[in-house]
Amino acid sequence: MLLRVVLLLCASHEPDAGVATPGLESVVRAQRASHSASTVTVPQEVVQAAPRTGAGDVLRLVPGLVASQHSGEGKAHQLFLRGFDAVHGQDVELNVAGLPVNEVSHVHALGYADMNWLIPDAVREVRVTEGTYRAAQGDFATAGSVRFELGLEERGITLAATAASYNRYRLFAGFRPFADPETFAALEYTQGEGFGPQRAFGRVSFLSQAVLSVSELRFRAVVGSAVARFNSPGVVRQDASSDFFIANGLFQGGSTSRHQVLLGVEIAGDGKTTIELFGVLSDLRLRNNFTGFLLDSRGDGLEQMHTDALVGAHVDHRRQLTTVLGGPVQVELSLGGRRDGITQSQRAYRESDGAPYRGDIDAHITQSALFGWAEVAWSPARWRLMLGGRADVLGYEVFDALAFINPRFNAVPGATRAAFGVHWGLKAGLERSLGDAWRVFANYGDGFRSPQARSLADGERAPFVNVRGAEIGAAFDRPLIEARAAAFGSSVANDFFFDHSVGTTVSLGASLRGGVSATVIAKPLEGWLISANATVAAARVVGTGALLPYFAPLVGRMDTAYTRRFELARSEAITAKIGLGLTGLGPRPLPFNEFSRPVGLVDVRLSARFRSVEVKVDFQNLLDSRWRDGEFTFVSKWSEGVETSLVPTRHFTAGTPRSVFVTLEVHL
Amino acid sequence: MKQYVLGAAVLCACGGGSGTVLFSTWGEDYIEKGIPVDSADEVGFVDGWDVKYDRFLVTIKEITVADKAGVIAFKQAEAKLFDLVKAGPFEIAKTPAVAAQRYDKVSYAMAPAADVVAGNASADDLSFMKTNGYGVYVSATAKKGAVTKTYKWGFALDTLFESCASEEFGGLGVNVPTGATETVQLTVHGDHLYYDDLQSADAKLRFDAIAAADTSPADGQITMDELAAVSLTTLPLGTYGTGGASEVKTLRDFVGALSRTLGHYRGEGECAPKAR
Amino acid sequence: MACGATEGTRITFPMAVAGVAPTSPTQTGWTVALTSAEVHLSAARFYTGKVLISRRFDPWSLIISSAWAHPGHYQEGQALGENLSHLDADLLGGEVDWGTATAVTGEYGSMQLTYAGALTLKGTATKGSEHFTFDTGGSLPKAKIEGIKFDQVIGAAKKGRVVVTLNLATLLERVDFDKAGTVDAAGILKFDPTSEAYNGFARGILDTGTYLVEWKETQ
Repeated sequence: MLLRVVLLLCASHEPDAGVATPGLESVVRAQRASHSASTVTVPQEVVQAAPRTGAGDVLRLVPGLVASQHSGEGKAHQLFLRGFDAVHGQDVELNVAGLPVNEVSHVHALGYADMNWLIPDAVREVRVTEGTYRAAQGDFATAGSVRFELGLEERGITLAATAASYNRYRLFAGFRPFADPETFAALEYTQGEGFGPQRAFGRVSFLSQAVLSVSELRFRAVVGSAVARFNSPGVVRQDASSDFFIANGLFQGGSTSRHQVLLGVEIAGDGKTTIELFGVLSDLRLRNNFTGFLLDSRGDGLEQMHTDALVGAHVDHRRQLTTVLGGPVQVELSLGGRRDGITQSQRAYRESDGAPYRGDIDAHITQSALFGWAEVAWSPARWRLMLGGRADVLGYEVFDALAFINPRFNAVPGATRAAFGVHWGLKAGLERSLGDAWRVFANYGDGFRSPQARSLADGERAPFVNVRGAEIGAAFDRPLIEARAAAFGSSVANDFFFDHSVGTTVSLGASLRGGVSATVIAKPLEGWLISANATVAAARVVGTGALLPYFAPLVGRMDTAYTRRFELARSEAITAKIGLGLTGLGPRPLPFNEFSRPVGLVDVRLSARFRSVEVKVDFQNLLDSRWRDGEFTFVSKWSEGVETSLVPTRHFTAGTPRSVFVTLEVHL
Repeated sequence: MKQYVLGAAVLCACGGGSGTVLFSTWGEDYIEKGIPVDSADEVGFVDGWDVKYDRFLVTIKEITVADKAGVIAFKQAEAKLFDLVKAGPFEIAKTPAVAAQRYDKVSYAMAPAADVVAGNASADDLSFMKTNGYGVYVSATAKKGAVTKTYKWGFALDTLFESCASEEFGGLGVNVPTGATETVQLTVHGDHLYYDDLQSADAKLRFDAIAAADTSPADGQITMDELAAVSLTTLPLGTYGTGGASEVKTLRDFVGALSRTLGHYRGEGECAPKAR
Repeated sequence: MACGATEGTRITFPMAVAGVAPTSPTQTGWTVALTSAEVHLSAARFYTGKVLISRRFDPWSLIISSAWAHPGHYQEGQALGENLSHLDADLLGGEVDWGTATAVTGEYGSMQLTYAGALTLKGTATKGSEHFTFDTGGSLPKAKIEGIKFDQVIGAAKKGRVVVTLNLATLLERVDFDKAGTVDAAGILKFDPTSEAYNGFARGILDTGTYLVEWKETQ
């Protein structure tokens, strides 16, 4: 295992040439050269070091990323990264084994990224590219990109059953037939009642990947299918709550389904060419009522539905062009596109019986995005210079079925609109090796977010939200320790603040974000792994100098695990592991110059393995701290009467209290 | 090499081109065909009346198109007079080629103009409006059962309609497409003269109180003076609410206030009227 | 940690209510001398929404501010502050304290006032040879008066209070005491709720121009 960790750590800064490092088992595929200090690869050892109950825990491994789940177990997480409140994904580009996760023009929030279908056991590594400095990063990669690579840790059949607090159960079955961890199939079923009223959920997910190498060709296929049904407790008013875990508003929750397939082939030879085709069918139905009866006496609850049929494809090519001044010049380019066929609607429903009473949105959208990017990397002597450019062309067709519905109009209801736009982005980077272990570097990149289709006028040149980012940093790479630190900044030209709890968009003008992040992954002793990261960031509106609310300015996470093998009689052995995960979130700025409470959480994992049976006990929130997952400030009205306060006030969603998970795992 | 070209073309609001805007006006069915009795299919008078216009003259002037910063791209040269009872819509003005982009500030005025020219109005209407100093003039017949009333009202008010926006057409102002003409209709809502409240969201169309004003003489013709003689205190509470318009005390004041709400934007879109 | 502040801050400010009695004859020609002006209020709420129509100096010209002037388009906007304490006062006794409002900083556009009972005016009215001792009685046309103009930016640094002044002359402007009903056995003219005078009195209460809301800085 030590060897594998060493391999991963060393391979992360080899110039990319598709060549296996000689002398070591070449199970590990050569990775793209990480020229940026903020490109971190989180290996599976770290992934396994602390409890993982779902995708949210896997997301939290990303340095500086806060993932909050304020509406139950089926809704996309709310993400905060590098000073950006990414809401449900508008600033973080998420990708699982080549399948895009962010949804465009989503009815609930821009860039909606539901990761709940991802089976944590099937995550082999997490590759994080912070910032927007690489040409491969596209729509929504304003704070960074995260790519999850899939694979099962152990060969053979793995069966696991988990019983946990609050009537939660999980069954897992996984199968890996070969030495290659990337070919596998996994199925997971989870259900639970939740730690408070209206938190029950049920979810089943199937994920499988197959890799087949035939001479110069390497075929890969990914298939996934998931369905979930969940209840949602809503948010609690701080001044009116009698119970920390209680719920406000009935009928909240929803259901999701996702079916996806990816087919790809990698052709080695003169350089490397990859062709991938993918398709995703996703459905979401969501009901939320955050404000009670503020806007309508029947109830402010909104039922949103979003269906997307996505098809896409891309071709990548990577090769070494030539050598200049002794340094290889490599070029990578990619062309591709995706087409989303979206149907979305929003209706208001009555709090008394859940029946809809008003239609707000009913639209069909066809959104097509084509891109082309190229990146040149030149590595003379101890330098590395990278220059890249990217063009994204977006075309929108919208049919707004509720426009022109009005008795005054003698017209057929429904309006059609079409818009078209281009975004050009420049990416640049500079790196210098100092000695064997140290590197320093600087990066620059232009990123963007695509607009919501319904907000565009007919013929409008689609206005993207443009983001420019830069960073400088240093990295230290040794066999037993890998560390990175970077200072970063981003400026957003035409930012907006979308408060999705009340559905309002406020234009902010220019905004500025900046901060410092540091990451360490170390193996100080045999069997002991530590991974720690901390990010300090600030986000301000340029015009007024005010802080942007809701992001977390200080985020720290540490995962550590110690594994020890105890020899027994008759050449038997027990492998025991103890893991600890610590999370810290500094007070978040809230509107009206207030701050949320800081959060500190402790997770512990104990496991013991004898032959093919493993028992794990996980403690989440071991100290049972009463923490607030999400804190918001807005106006709500849950009761009638003259005395009801209508000024903006604090609302929160309760974080998970202490939960114990007991798992029995059998490896065949 | 390609990378350098791409790099140089960073984030430019490239190309753009130019387009034009065609401004038109229309009175919709309410002016062309009449305002019916309220029913399940159509919004109309809740107290059983129906109204048919024979003339509805409006002077439209000072159409202005400006961007978010206030830089004016177009300003209408001449005030024009339209009779909206004729089947429309009617072209008011077409801008020259302007940069193809979004213009957030579109505004126009309805006011008397000494130099007004005919849009589609007759020469007689033109001189009539100039002589009397009217910006808006309506002539109509109202019927309820066997009762018929006629009225001819002129308004000399000057109202600027600014910050025009239409949700259905993408928000504030107008977006000018490249190499094409965008049409913007300045819609006139002829039913606004009969609302029974100046501020409420639940205002209804009523005519009973206006008809009852025909007392001196009771000749079937409702004049502005007759309206001025009706104090709002004689009308039931819950109707003819005036919000904060303390000066509105008579029916004439009330209808005059409503005449400042006639101008709309691209159908159901709104502007912010400003009294001048 | 993050140094600095987000937009806005929570603030409080005291409130007071006063009344201005009529000093000159009303538009209907009556000279009114009030003996009591009892008001019962239960709430005041402040909003960002700018007011549709408000009183201005000369007739025929109305200030219609930047909200839509289509009937019904006074939009309240976001609630910025509120005072939920009860008040029973006689407005003729000078300024009366009305508790403290909890609020946030921002651009205030309008205020909403909620009555918790009637506004009752008592006094005498004289016109020529006619003279009445009147009592408007205790019923209310509507409890909530919406869209009272209050155009004020209140920041964290500003210390002040909000004074709501009821202009009782404006309130009585539409009242013609001749059309109020009949004088009772005790010699009091009690307003008949179906009378024109009561209609005018009710419209006066509903007229947001009756209320003057001011921010008075204290420093």
